[in-house]
Amino acid sequence: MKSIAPSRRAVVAVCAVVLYALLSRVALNSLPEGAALKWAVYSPPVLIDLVLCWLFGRTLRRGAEPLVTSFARHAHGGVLPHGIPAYTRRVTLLWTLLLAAMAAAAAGLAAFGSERVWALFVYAASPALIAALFLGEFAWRRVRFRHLPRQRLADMLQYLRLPSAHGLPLLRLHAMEDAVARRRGEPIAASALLADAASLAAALPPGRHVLNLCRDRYHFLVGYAAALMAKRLSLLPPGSGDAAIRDICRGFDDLCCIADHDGVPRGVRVVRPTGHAAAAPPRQMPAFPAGQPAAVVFTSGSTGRPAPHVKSWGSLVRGALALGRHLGLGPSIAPQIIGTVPPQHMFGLEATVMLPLQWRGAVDAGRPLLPSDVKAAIESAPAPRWLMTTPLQLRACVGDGLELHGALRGVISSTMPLDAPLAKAAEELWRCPVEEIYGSSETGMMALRRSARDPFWTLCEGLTLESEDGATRVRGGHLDSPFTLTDRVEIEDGRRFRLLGRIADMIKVAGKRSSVEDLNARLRAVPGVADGVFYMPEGAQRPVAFAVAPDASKASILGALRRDLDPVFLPRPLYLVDALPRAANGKITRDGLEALLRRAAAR
Amino acid sequence: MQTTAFESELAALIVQALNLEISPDEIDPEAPLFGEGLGLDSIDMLEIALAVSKKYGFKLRSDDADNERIFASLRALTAHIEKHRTK
Repeated sequence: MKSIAPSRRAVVAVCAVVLYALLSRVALNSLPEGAALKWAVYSPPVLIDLVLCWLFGRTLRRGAEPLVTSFARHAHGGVLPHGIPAYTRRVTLLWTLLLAAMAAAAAGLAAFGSERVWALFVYAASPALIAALFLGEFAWRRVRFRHLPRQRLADMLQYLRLPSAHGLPLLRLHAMEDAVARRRGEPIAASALLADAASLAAALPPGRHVLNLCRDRYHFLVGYAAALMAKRLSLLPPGSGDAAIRDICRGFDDLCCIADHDGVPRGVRVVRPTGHAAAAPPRQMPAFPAGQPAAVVFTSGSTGRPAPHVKSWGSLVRGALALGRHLGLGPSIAPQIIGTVPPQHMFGLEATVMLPLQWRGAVDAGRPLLPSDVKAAIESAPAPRWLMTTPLQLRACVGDGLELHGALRGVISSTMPLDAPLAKAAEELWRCPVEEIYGSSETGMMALRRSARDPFWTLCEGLTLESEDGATRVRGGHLDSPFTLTDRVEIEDGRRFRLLGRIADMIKVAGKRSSVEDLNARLRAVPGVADGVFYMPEGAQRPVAFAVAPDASKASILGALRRDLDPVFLPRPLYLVDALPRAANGKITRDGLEALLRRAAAR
Repeated sequence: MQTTAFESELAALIVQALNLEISPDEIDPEAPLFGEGLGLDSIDMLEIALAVSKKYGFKLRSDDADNERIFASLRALTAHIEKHRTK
């Protein structure tokens, strides 16, 4: 299954050869002997040049995409950096002209030149011209687009296939024996994944949605692939909390749940990811249209039902390809991923599922949390290794002075801000770049930076930023639709920007966003609470809350909040106070809350 | 319900490290620490691991994908630390 045959093209090619053979036979039979021989000897090179010339030239007509642009689009995962389309159109034209000139020269020499000159031209000069244009253009491109990630010749040859008309493949690999995952270092082959996924897909009960709760990352992959193959939409819940899962279940009545552990809320039909009757694995690599809805991630908000965000297969693939190019991946670099973030979180899905699937990589099946477990997972994987993690885990690892045997190629952190000193300490400890992704559940990654050195974020390829009335929108690239940022932004130039802090109302805990107003409303709605406010102190990981509640106890307030809120937003701690520092207009200032916090904490 | 001295010590460490809204002796050693019980999450697991490593010079390790087993309850965590400390 190494090459997935674009069968229609093969049929056309065979027909053309047969037609040519028939024509030649007719020519040989009907022409005088000398002319027939001439036709047989002289025509093939001319015809080949003409066919190639036609293949390039026909894509230059209005409305069509030039052939070289198609190759480039394939290499860039569907999103072309600025300047590439115009350039590749000119390159297509150049190839068309060269091939036309070669056909004309071969025909001219056949008619008027000596046999020796003709043979020299066709068998020596023509291939040399083609090689010269190919290599010359490659060298020129590296100079002309030196600001883009370097492309290697091997990568370029790799992409000289037309984009498949059948969709974007589930995974890209060299061979079916390649590892797609490792459990405690033991490789799990792509063939096993496809077989398990096909069996699970056949065992799924009817319905359109599946809830993938698997903790083991290989089990998650099986569930995710099976859902795609069975044309189901994978729902990826933000947390393992029962409340969040029950909320999601209420919204979808035809749900079944793929889980590899017990403790799934009752009333949901559970299917195990593996252990089903073997179904025939697919004969071809499964591929899905770019527009197929593939996954739903949720922003928890603080209250009520989690808000769903649908991701198309195309946007997930384009995002993974962009991330891989940023990391400098290619056919010769198969990334080995260790992830501490759940695959159900958008960052986990991008960095630990889509990235290895689309770049011939493999992912560690575990989800190590404690520093010693992170170390064991990293050391069980072969090079080149990347760690996909959060600032919390980085802080724990750096705090432990976690020494690694064997180098990491890189670390990527996301879900909450990574401060420069921590990033620097991690870089020094592991001697590798530590990069940070700025993203959201709605968009996936939007920008990257090397946090130890650079306060500025660089926008991901293909994306554009625009500011209007104090709001900043991001669009293009892998995104399915534009998105308005929840942070204030200062744009340095087209590609680089600085974050000026959250739009005051938003806080983020453990990768989940909430509006403070929303939290406040919940607090004030608790019986016995007269007034109340949440506050996120500078540098804190959790919010505190102040409540004026003469007739309620802390325990009863916390109990009520626990029923209503995602647990990550529960106040640590809750202070009962006599009054909130409200100004005459009812507003509470940050300074007022800061002073109140100092007084309350001192008590 | 019997609470050992080491369990009380660990309970105090947890309450202090996590800014919890309860006193250490309110933690039922058999009750789940995470999820429905005390309502802790994985951020707290890391905090506890860090606090334990600072105080006892011992690095917690789950040896297992299932972190929730060693953090199942105060008693389970205490047993895990005692077992591995002696090594």
